[in-house]
Amino acid sequence: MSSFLTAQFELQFAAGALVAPGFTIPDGGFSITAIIGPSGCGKTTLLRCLAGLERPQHGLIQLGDQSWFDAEKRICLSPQERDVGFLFQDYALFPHLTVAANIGFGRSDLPKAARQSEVIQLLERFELKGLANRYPHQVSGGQQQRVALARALIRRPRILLLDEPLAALDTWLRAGIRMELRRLLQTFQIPVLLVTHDPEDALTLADHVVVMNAGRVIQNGAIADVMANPTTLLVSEFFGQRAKPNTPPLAQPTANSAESVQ
Amino acid sequence: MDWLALSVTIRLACATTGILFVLGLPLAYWLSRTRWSGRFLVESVVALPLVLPPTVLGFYLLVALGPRSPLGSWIVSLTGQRLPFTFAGMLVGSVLGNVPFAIRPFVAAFSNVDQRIVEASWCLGVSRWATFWRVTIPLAKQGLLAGVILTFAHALGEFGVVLMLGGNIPGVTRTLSISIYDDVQSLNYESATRTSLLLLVVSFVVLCVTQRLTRRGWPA
Repeated sequence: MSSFLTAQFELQFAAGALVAPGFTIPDGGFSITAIIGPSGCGKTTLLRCLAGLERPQHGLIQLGDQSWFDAEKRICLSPQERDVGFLFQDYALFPHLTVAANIGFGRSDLPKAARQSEVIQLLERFELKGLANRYPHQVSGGQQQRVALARALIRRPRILLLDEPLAALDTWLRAGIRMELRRLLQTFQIPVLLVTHDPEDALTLADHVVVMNAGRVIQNGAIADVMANPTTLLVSEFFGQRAKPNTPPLAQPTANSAESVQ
Repeated sequence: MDWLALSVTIRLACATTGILFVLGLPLAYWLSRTRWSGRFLVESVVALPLVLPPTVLGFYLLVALGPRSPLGSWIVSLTGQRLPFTFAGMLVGSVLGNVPFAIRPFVAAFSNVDQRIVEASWCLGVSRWATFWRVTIPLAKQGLLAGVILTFAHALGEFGVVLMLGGNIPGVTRTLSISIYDDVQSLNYESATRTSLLLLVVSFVVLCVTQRLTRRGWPA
């Protein structure tokens, strides 16, 4: 079966940690895949490898018919060459630029008028009208998140990577913003990969789940399937009371403790 | 007040600052980003003029640039001119002596730029070169400006290197600090007082400005 995204690679850090995930995303339409696992298991490193910000030593990353990384053929596209939207944990907005300039930043190839109309469209779509001339520190956390999303999506990437998109927000805001986030993302017909440490994020946002531990994928599949059949204690513990391992827990993969670059 | 010396001093400080800005930006950017284990060597060379007596630097340059050295004779064959005891020679000494006052603030300014913001720009398809100008420079601007002002202020007071390498030629290599020295030698304390006060006030104002600049960052 051909798949939309194939990620099968190994990155060994000088300090000894190994991140070696392997998983696929079957099609290029809308779906949210949550990457979960204990902190330091390599979730963020996985996203950074997909975006081209880290270079693995072995394996391949393929999107559609395009090779983004292929160790054997010595292919490694730069972040600029990959059709990817990346949302950083604290959003990494440009503090010296207005909300509108942040959103339009990646489309400086367009003539000014065309860029402005794109920006206005996105401001409306992300309910940011009236904030165009504010600076990032002058808008709320939820609004910053939407600015960062609009900034990433203005280039119409083929895949969207979100690193802990809700961690920077106040707890009491999260539930509302979660539903809002899924509704917004659904209007862009692209797969979303979302790294989170919060089971609630995975349960309410995601269709699929990839569970990582010590740098490796230990289980993945549709979220209901994974919850119904957790293969390890770790997975059942992650989902708390909602899932019980009904098969004897497999041996934990030999701990090659991996660190994610936070 | 020696107006000729003032004009020489300002020309020297402007030229020194300009050269260090152009040459220093790429070096400082590289130093702020490299993970090379030998970077401490480069950093030490950069910091050397902070602790080395300026006369020592001036002496080495005098020997190295003199007509009997290979470098000096090469420069003479190239330009038909000796460097010691000219404005250009004094400028070489001033640039080298002021390296730490430019490079170190530049490195600090670049290091304070959050790398994730730079990576965010790359992920938006903006080239490394364009990101440098559209993100890194604007975010480092205040620190860079502080380095420029500091270099200019320090170059204004250059004495040791200049004396060794430039001599004391009115209108060519006699700077304000050398003119103060001359005034004192000839017991002209009135003139020395005026010139000293000028340098004191300028230095103080400059430091006030740099302190203000480096304290203000971008709000998160």
